[in-house]
Amino acid sequence: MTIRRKIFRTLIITNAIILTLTVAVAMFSTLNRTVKYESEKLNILSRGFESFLGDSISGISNSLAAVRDSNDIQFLFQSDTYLKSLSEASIKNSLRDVMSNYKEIESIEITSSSSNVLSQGSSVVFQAHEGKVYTQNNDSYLMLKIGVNSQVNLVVTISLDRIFKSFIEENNFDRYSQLLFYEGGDLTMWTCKVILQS
Amino acid sequence: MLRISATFCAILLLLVCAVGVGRDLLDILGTKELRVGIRNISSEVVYFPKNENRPGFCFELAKDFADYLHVKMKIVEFDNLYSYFDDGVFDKVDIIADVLTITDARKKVINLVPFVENGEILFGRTGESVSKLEDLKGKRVLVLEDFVFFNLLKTELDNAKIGYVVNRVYPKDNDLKYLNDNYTKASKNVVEILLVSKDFEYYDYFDYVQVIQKNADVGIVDTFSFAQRYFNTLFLKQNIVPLMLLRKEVGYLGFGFSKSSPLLAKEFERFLTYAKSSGIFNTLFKKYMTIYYSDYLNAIEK
Repeated sequence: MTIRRKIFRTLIITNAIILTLTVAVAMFSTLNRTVKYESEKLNILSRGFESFLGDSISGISNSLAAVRDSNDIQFLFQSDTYLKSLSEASIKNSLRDVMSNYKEIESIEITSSSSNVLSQGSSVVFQAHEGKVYTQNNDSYLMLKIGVNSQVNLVVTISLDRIFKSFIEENNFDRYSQLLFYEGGDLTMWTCKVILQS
Repeated sequence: MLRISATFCAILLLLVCAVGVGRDLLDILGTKELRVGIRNISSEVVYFPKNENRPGFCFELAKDFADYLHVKMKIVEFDNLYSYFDDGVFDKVDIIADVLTITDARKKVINLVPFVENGEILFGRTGESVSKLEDLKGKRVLVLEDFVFFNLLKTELDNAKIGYVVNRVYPKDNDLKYLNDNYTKASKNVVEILLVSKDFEYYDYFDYVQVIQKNADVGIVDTFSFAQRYFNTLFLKQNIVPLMLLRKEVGYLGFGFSKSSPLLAKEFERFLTYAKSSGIFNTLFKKYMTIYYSDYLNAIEK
């Protein structure tokens, strides 16, 4: 083997190694960038959804403040049947208005010491705890409890699926998007990690 | 001469004893207890012990006064407004915490210290439009003999030269029935005053319920109570509209004191000045009325 041939072979091998390394680095870099981009996108989306959910919940709470602070709630527990019926009708009217403004509300109930006093909307029967996500018949629900006094509460059942659909529609996301949520230990509404998968 | 003096003394004694001899400030500070007379009528304006959030404006104001004096408050419940003027009331209580409209007649009997400005407001069902007294012709106006609105309405109608008839009614089975004696059919050119006699046991929101049930077209209440109820009660907001103020003059609502407790009444006046300047009164007002005291004054003094 001539020296010329040896040099040529060494150059070929060196070039091959350099090429392989370059391709490998390029591939790793592209993959890394894609993963990073997707991760950031998911992070922004999850923050966006959490913010959307928080806005919806605070909007619902504010809208129900007029009912919560009304004298009518007190009359539900009075013996005067006429005042009671007037108050019941007015509270139901107000709850209907709130529900028509917030389509994600499944039902609103007024409870006293765990017994149901008045309800509006279709009641979802499940063992709910405030802030926990419950799934029933392929629908997910959140329960929001608004205290009127030490015994009386306004219990709002919110359809998580409907909130998610509103979020998708408002942001023009792919309508086949899915909502996944982790339930690590005691999952609460404010600390839950929401991941969107397109 | 002796007989005349004895008679004079006896009359004086009877007058003083008519509503009882009240304890004065030093007795209250000595016993460390303020006895407060109040009606338990499930009213957020007066006293509503079952309502944790709003147990009553008058109740809370009296409680603030007791705290100001550093004494305990003892509640003595009354059945109705008239029982405040019964004999010996101030043997049982030191102060009457209620929305007592201050009138000359009442001032002769008890010492009334004003705590809030007040007017008389006419209200009707949603869709009703009455903007002047003339518009009341042909309408049925509900008033209670118990309350001062009856005489005020008659005076205003007389001044405006508007005719009226007074028909006595009594509530029965969600309806107002005419009492047969002296019933006068009202024409469309006069105002028909439906007068509920004083022996009727008034309950809170009675006037509003009668108007909502179409048993009367117009009702009259004080602006202070109206503000609390109207802004906080959904069924009123959905069924009732405020129409107009009965008269331009602004009156006062006051707490009642015995004529023989001048120091206590004076101390309450001092407390009110302090509460109004320190913001305590305004905070309490906003809690119950949902509007600020200054906004309320602007509304009724227009």
